[in-house]
Amino acid sequence: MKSTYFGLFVLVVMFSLAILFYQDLLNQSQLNLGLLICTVGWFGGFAVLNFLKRGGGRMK
Amino acid sequence: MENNAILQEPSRKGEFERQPVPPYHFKDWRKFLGMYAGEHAAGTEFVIGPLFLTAGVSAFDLIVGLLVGNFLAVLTWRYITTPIATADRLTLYYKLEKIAGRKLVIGYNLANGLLFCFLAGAMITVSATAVGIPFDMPMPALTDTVPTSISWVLVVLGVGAVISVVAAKGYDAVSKFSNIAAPWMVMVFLIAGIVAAKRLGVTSFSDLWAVWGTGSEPFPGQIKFTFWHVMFFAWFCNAAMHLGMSDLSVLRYANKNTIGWTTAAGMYVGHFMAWISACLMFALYLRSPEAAAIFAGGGVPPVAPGPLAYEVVGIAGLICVVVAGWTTANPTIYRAGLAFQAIFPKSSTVKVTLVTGGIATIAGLFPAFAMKLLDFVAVYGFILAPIGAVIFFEYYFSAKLGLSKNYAQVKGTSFNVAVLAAWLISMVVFYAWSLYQDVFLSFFTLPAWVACGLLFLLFSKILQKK
Repeated sequence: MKSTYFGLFVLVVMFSLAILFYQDLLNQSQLNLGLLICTVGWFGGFAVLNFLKRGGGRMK
Repeated sequence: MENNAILQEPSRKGEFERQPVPPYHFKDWRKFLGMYAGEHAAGTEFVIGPLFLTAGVSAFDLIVGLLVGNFLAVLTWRYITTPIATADRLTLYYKLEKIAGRKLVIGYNLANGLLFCFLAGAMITVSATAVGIPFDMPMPALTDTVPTSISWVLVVLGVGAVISVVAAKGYDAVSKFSNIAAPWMVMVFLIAGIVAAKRLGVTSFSDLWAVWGTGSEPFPGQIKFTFWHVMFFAWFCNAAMHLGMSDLSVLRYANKNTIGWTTAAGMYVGHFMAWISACLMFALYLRSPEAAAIFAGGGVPPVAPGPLAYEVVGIAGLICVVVAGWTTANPTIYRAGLAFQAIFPKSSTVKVTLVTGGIATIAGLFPAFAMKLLDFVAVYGFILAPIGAVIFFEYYFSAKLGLSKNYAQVKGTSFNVAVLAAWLISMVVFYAWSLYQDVFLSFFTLPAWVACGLLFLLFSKILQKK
């Protein structure tokens, strides 16, 4: 369930960036940077969630 | 085109390969909705969208043609494929083996495996256009059929080698990765469309309509697309899956027939939104000084998904092109490997997958497979769809005509000549007709399917009388 909320959150942020660009509140390079951060967050976040799910978090 | 990993690979684990799926393994609509939505947002969508534009399509023909064609595809999945899938709950291969015999299934596997290789080659080409950007690699033009530079060859070989090794050694990891990446890819497609529309000055629906206007002359080497071309292409680009019954392997897990409607998620996300987004990206590129210079020099601008996506959404777009090409080429190479392994059962899966990946990589070197993707996808559906007619007509009409069901199994034969003759005659006749009369092949997918079914019943009647 945590991963569903995390995924939805990142997708909403990405879509919001596109809307902000469409409304001229972001320029192209700001949009590109935002999307890159979301992309890294998406794959990094799921990798961490997957690690925690498999019990990696208990090692400490 | 396709990228399903959730349910598509039961044969890998030998799960219910030769028996009906038991009720406690049935899945509900949620599993199918996500799978179909992700499956049809693949690397090839980045090429198919722009190719519509190169075919000089008009706004009405594109948008309404896609709406209608995709709806017809959903209806076909719902009313042709799903009822048979949930009635027998067998894979296409096992069902076909019962009707046509083991040796004919090998022939089908060979055709299937080769077509999968070429499709995977197009996906490698798509990924290579993104990987090549940092190396300043010249992109292949729309009319290019053979490798155009040494850097192109090196990048494609590199991408192909990575994809092939991963498909052979780490299939499960990539399968999981592609499930994670699918929603993100769909969002990148959507955002790319929004950004391209904004940069094209689209502020209303009429502006969007004006991007294509009343169409244009097709680019050199392309045929002019009308409403009918778009509609039939959208309907039959996945003909192998619905009319051809390949999706029996997936839909046999459905807990009820209404699950066939979930294919709409794939059609309207991948084959509507993603195609139109990619089309808008290319429309933006065509207005660039670079494209204008190419036109002025009498050349044809390249359809290169990497630079298109990079221009619109930056590095995230590049990553999307690589991931979309990679995650779709991976299961495609794996499935082609499985098809070939059925022909050479004693060889190891790793070896066969590596060889298959090698064939796909060689195909990827030739830009023709990607640049002529509309034609190739039409051929792919046309060749494999008629086999589904054998299953459909046998299911609904064999009892009425007094024919034996599952003839090969009942008779103990490994080769049902009625199936082969029906498949070959319908294919050869309509393909020759298309070739000599210069008719778009997707127009003949349905006639060839119906002809194959009728011929199968006729030949079966004659054969079984003897």
